[in-house]
Amino acid sequence: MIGIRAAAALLALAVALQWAVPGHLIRRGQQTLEQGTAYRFRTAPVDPVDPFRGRYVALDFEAARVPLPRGQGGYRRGQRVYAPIRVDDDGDAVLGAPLRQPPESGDWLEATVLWVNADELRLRLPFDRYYLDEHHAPEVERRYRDTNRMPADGEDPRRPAWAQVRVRNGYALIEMLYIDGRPVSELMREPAASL
Amino acid sequence: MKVHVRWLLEELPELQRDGVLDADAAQRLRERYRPLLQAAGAGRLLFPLLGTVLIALGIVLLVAHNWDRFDRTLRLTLAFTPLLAGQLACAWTLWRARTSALWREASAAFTVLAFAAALALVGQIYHFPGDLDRYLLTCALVALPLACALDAVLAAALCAAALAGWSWAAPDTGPSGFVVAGLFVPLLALAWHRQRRAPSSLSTVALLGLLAPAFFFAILGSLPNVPRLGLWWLAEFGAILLLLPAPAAAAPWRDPLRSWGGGAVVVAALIGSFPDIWRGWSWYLRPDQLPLGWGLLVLGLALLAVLAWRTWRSGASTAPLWALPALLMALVAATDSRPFAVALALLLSAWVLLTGIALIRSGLRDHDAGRASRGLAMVALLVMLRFVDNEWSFTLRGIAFVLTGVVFVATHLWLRRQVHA
Repeated sequence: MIGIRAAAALLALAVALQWAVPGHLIRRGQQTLEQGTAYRFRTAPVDPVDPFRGRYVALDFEAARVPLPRGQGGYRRGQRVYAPIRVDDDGDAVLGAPLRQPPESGDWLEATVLWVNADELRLRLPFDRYYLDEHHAPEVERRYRDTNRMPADGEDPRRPAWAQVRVRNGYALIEMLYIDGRPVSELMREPAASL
Repeated sequence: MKVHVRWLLEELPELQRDGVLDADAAQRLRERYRPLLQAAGAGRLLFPLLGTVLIALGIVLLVAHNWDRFDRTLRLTLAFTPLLAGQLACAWTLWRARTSALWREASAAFTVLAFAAALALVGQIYHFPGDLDRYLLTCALVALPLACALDAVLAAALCAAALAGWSWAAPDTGPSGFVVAGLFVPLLALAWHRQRRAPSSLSTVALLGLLAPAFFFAILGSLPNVPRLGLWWLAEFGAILLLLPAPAAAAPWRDPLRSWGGGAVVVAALIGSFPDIWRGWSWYLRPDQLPLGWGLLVLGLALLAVLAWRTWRSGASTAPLWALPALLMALVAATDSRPFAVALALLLSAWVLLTGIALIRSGLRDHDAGRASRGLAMVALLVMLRFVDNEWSFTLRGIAFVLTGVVFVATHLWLRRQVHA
């Protein structure tokens, strides 16, 4: 067995790490939620079960598919990139062609390349899930599917769900998930059967 | 054994008073034999530990279940309360109950699990993305100093499992094998220290028994996706475990390194006894993977050579033969083995057969029924795999399996009779 001083030092190190790591995550999260710029990302939720964190709505974002300008290639799978954020005419966030370095002005997201083809890039965004009460998550999911069937030809395929995301210095957190224009927190206050 | 150790420890103060032993010698004897006494009561450790794990899991479930009704501050407070309790228990253990294996194990394991739960809950509260590899690595890195500080086997095992999980969960540009091995160094040092201090204690046996496969799978997960390299690593790792210097144990389960090692080498050789393995598995490494692939090969072979030479010098002249499959696989690893695939499969089959027969013979000679049975199992497995390998009909294979089983059982009974005679 190691000496008492060495053991105490190791224990102090362990305790410090055990507070520093989540403390840093909490501080960064709070700052992003309080000071970050709000963007609206259109979503398409599904409902898996995460064995570590309970039930959540897994989110897929239209903005994660980025059209590539002609001749702008050279991306590879797993590469870390920096995508500038723009807002389109409908007020939804869209991402510009990813860069190798963070842009000097404007908000951006740090993302990972999932796959790439000749004219499109698929990114893994730094937010992909919204945790819900485990009783309400399947109901929220069902409601989304019921009200969001595949559109008929020629109709606007707009989905009535989006996530409000706060972005600060490239770090992003989901503030709220909206379905049919209503925040999920409000939907969850209704009895499960009425959802 | 337990009675003798207790008697010795009770005698020490009197021996010290009478001047037979000085204080330092008495303390050294206490440090040497007290772990044996503590290890002897497996149930005393097992049930409290099981209880601790259940309590920790229960807390995780209770806190995580339906807690959307709480505001963020309260949720964070709830998430960190078990962690704080665990840390206080660890500090108390270090200062007041450091010699109690029960307190060390329980407080360290509880704190490791409480931290993992707190981190997961922070992720849930802020809707962090699911980065399982980062989560496991963070849990492992934080558990590492705790396991070393409290000399806690269960915390070390949790840390090793998290490292192995991280190695597999990382994306394809995941951690280098050298980084993974480096992170295992403190755990291996802890195990080595325990092996020297109390080799026969149950906690040492458990630590070695858990650490060896965790290390193997962690390195395997970090290797490039080249099956031939993975098979070689299995043979290599098994041979290293077998050739490591370790005191002889009373039973195979008391000697986990040799048990895992022998099993690994035999499994690798049996897989290599299929010619198709050598026809289809190419050696393709990307340029960035080449240093790791070749580095592991060269380092592994060098270590094997040193261990084999030491073992041979110590008088165990046949032990280095366990390194032959790894050596053969290393020699052909980077070559186009298709032309001599059958020869390689035959060589490895011959190794399994001869090693099995040698084990049966030495088991009979030393009246060791277990060793003889292991040799018999090797031969039987080799024979049965050949039934899979050929184009026989299901009926014929079924009959062959039945006949082999009958021969195996009859031979086993004959061997036991020979050994006991």
